[in-house]
Amino acid sequence: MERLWFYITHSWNDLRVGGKRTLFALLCIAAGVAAVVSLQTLGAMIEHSLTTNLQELNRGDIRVFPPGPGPGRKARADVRVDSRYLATTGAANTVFTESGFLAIEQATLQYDPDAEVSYRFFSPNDPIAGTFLETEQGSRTIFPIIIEADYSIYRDTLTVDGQKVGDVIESPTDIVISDNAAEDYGLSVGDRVQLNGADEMFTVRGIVDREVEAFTENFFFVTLFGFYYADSSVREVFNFDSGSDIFAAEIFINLSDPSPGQVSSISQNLERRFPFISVSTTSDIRERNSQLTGAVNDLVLLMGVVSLLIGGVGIVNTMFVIVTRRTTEIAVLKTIGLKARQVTLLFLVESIILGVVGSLIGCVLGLALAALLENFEVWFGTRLDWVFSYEAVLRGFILGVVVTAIFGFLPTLVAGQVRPGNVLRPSTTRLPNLGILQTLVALSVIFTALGVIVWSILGGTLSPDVDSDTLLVALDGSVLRFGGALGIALLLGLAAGIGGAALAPGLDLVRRPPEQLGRAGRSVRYGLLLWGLVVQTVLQGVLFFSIGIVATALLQDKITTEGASLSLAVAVVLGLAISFRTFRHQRNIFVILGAVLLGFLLMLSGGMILGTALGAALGALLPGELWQLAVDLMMGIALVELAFVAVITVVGVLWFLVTLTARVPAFDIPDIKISFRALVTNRNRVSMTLLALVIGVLTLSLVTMFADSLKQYFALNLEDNLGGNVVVLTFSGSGSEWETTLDNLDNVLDETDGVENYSLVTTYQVEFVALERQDGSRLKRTQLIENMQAELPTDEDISSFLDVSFGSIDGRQTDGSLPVKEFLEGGRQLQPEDAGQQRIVIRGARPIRATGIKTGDFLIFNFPDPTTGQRRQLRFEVVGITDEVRGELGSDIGSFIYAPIDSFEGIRPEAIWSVANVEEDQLSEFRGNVRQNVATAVVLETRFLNQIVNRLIDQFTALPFVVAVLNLVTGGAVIANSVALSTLERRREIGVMKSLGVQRERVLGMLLLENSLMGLLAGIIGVGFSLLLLIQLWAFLFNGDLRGSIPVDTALILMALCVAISLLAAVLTAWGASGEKPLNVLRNE
Amino acid sequence: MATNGLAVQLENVTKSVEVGERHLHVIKGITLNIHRGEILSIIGPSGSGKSTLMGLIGGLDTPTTGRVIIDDIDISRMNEGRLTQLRNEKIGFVFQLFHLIPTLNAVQNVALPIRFSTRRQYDPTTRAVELLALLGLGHRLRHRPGQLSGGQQQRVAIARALANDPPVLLCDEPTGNLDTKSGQQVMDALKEIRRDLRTTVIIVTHDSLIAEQADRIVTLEDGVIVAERIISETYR
Ligand SMILES: Nc1ncnc2c1ncn2[C@@H]1O[C@H](COP(=O)(O)OP(=O)(O)O)[C@@H](O)[C@H]1O
Ligand SMILES: [Mg+2]
Repeated sequence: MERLWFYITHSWNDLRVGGKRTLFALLCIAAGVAAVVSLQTLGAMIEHSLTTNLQELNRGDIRVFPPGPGPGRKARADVRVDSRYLATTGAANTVFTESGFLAIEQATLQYDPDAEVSYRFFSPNDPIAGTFLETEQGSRTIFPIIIEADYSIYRDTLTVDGQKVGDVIESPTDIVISDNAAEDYGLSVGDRVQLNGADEMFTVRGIVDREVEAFTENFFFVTLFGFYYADSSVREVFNFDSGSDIFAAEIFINLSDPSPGQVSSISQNLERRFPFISVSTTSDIRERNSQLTGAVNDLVLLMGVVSLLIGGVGIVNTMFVIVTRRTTEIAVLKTIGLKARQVTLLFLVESIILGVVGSLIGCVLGLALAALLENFEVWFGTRLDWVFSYEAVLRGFILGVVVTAIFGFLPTLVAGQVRPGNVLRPSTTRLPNLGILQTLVALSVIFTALGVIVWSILGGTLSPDVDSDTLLVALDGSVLRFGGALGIALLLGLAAGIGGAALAPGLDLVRRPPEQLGRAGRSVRYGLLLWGLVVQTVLQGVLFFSIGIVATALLQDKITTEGASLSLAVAVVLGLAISFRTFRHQRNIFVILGAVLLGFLLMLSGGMILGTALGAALGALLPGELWQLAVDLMMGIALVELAFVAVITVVGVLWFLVTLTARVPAFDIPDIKISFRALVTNRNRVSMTLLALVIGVLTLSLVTMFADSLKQYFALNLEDNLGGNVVVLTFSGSGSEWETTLDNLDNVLDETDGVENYSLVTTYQVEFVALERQDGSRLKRTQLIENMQAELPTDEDISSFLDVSFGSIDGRQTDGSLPVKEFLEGGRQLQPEDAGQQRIVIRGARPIRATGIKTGDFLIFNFPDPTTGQRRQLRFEVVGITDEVRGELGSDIGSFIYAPIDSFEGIRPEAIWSVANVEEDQLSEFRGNVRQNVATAVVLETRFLNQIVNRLIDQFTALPFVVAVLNLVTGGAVIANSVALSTLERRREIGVMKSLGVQRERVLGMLLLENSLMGLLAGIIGVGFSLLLLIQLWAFLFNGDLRGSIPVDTALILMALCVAISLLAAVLTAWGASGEKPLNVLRNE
Repeated sequence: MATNGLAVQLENVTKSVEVGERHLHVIKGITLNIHRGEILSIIGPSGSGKSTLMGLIGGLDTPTTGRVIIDDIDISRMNEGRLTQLRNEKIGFVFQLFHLIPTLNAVQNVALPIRFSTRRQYDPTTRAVELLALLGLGHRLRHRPGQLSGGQQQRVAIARALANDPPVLLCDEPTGNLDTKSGQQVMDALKEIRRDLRTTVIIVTHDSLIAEQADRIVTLEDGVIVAERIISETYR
């Protein structure tokens, strides 16, 4: 007790005296913990939104869906579609007819006479009516939600100024819009707006928070475009009548007794009576959402932990400096009788105090950050309610303390090894090396502790289920029995320690000159030398190769075989040259590298071999449950080890790069020379620090550059793929009106000035009948689905993909305006001579190919006519299947299948649309013309489509972006810490310089130069790495055609940001140091 | 307690260290007996191995060959754990640069070795206050090292060295960082301690005035004893 008290007071005093050193170390931990706490709180906020008010989320106790694509719904093709109850819309979708709704309402009232039954739909009669808001800039998408305004759940929804939706919607033309739509289109209460498909104007009566609809399956539409509520009486306002009986897309049921038993019994009864419906109850939602939030939480926590681990680098740095500065004190403590473990404990207490204080600060910062995040709308632009998550704070705190202790462990172990004799030579502050045993212990403890952390987060999600007799993929990709898995993991921990410990004698071997070694030692040394040389050359080769590829890609906008082979040649030459130079000057580097790599090889291979043996034995001995726990736990450890190997590799690369920096010509400018030298002498710490910054920059640049390049790619490709900058959508109307619409559209496009070219498209909703092979055999839907499942082993619902893609056919003009594409064997594009022929081209996405369809096959479809209820059957020959595997990100719009526009034997299409190229300055006149001549038309510009794509990408990357920024902030804290440490350490050097008459500004200049160099290095490496990674991805996605989608600007900005961060850190810490009084040189610390 | 009246026996002790790639022979065979209660001065030029020798006697290091016997216990082949205990109980160290723990006050510094003693004989604080009073620092008990003069710091260091009442006190240039007057005060304190506690005191010094106050002076040059002069026979 007494001793513990001594440890605590002593450490506390030391930290207090430590000033800046302590401050920046605390900052490192705090930044990491803040990341964990804020992300976890965010997770809790998301969870809160998804799991409370379930009845409101579900819009009732029971929600009833008609057949159609989507999770939990029955496929239209799998049920008998009774046209009394159901009407078909879209390719695979159905909706309830009025009599369908009434039947379900009646049935419900039989079970619960006091139940409230309501419904909603998303567009009146016509698939596009009411879905566009006409604005000055053209048509803008908005998502319609048409409800019964007096249904209790909607009626009581509050607008932002506190009124009830049910009260403000009084007439069919009253609407309530979402706040994001109001912001985007500049609307406020009382404004009058025009919606496509209606002649009358609508009045905005209220604005609601988008949150009220955001957490439903309409998530994307709602957050992307915004929505409006209108009452179901709005049907009268829209002037279409396609003759069909479309009534409700969903039915809501509010029971008088919402107890789970009642809900499930009534929903089961309904399902039995109406076999085609699917239901969603509050408990279904709870289950689904808690699965989702569980996954989100784990992911978010894991990302936060990465931040914390980056901060851990700062802890290692700080603790090493603390220990180094106090070697003499440690020696004194040892002379008066403190044992090694007592010294270790003393410093461990110190790092734990650092951890506790830093984590406390981090928790506060984290909560503040979470509050900020709330306003930044990270989660797909939805507003989340602030939730104080006690668990997030506790977790952050504990993780912070534990990580600090783990990272502080190695330095404190070193502290314990300081020789007491040091006290007689106080000027020597070289730290002792750890012995094999200590290294073994240290690494095993570190791996196990980190493994437990990972396990506590991931639980058993990654590890195999021991009961199932599945095979496991082992580290090297080879497959081992699950018995081996446990052993691998278990012994990897130990083997990692052994492997690491193997480094110690290896390094010892390196330090001694060859003459002093025995025969065996010499040959081992040469072996290591050779091994190191080979690996180093290969590493460099890969590095230069990748740089070469990026460079040629930048120059040519394309990755070509020639470019790649040229880079390879240059890379090999450069790699060899550098290896050769280094070999002549610093042979030992290779021996060290060899030793390190050998250590890892031992660690991995030894672990695997031992592991397999032991695992098999243990698997037989342990009872099942315990074993599962062990497997889970060990999986965590194995993960940590993999990460460790990765990190060490990166640090190794960084180390070499820092060394290479010294070779950059300094032009005989002393300041630059000194800066370079400072970097190289401290390269161990510099490379550790760089690691932290590099991870931060890497994540940030991966996210931003990926998003940026996608945006650029879409911007470039959209017009190409569409074949124009304007899309005109119309609804074909009923009867034979469609022919007039088509003619009118054709005429407008033909006659308006500024229309450079255009093509007309008609879209048909069809029912797939069969695929007919050339030999006459027929494949039905179920057989195609079986083929797909055999070819694509996924859990996803492939059948709905098939239903959608074989559910509509486009008619296209065959006058040569169709895009040039690559086709699978024997295929071709539609030609002018195909006009009037029943021939089709299919877009060959992967699932489509998996059906086994071939060029030359025939597809048979039914064309239902909703007005007459009759079906016409047509048979099309497949003349081409496009090769789209690499172009799946392409932005083609329209159906997966198209045929000549005049090959449908006069059947009425569902929609008529057109793609045109219109000169920019003629656009508004064009819009006017189109609207005048084709009443139902909506004019969309690709610019607008681009905006949508951009917004979608932004929303997808928002959360990763926040995480990356947090990582970078943590990296910044580590840099600040490192700069502070190195300037503190170099006070004497600075004092000497000043006593020699070097001015303060110049000293400061040198410090800043050194740190901007470091920042630049981190920037180049981080951004460079992500370019390397992304280029592979782009080359794969876009088939080598980069088309300027490399975001050079973003890359440069990110690099500048990196320099700025390290400069900032340097300025903050170096100003004081540069003011060091020359007198201090004379004083002893 | 030594049966033969010898506090320290060195038998043909050598010590070599590795400096970079070479072996450096720092101590080249020293045999020396030091009596209980004796004050021994070791003088010699810089780099002659004085500090290294002190380290060997005090169990900070082990000899390459030969035997070091403290209080009849051979410590030449002891492991680090037992050496630590030995240092705690049998040896007191005083250094040129004082090496007090800067964050602890005088009493805490002195009490430290007692707190970490496995066989505790005294109450840490009481003992510390007593010793500090003995060394004339009764009025500076709660001061931190930074608030004390050099001479006062060195006396705190001596008190700390005496905390567990060790038979041997090793002082490596204890007056090297002090002015003549403070140096003499420290020397007086050491003599007083020897008189009151019969502690064996070994002093490495450059200062001939200090060296002359010992019972015996040994001169070291290049790792070997080149001269020995007995001044007083009182403690033989
Ligand atoms: N651990 C060591 N590492 C390097 N050199 C040492 C070490 N121990 C002793 N020496 C060397 O041995 C010689 C004697 O040192 P020391 O005992 O400190 O001499 P003195 O105290 O007499 O000045 C010096 O040259 C010193 O550099
Ligand atoms: Mg000396």
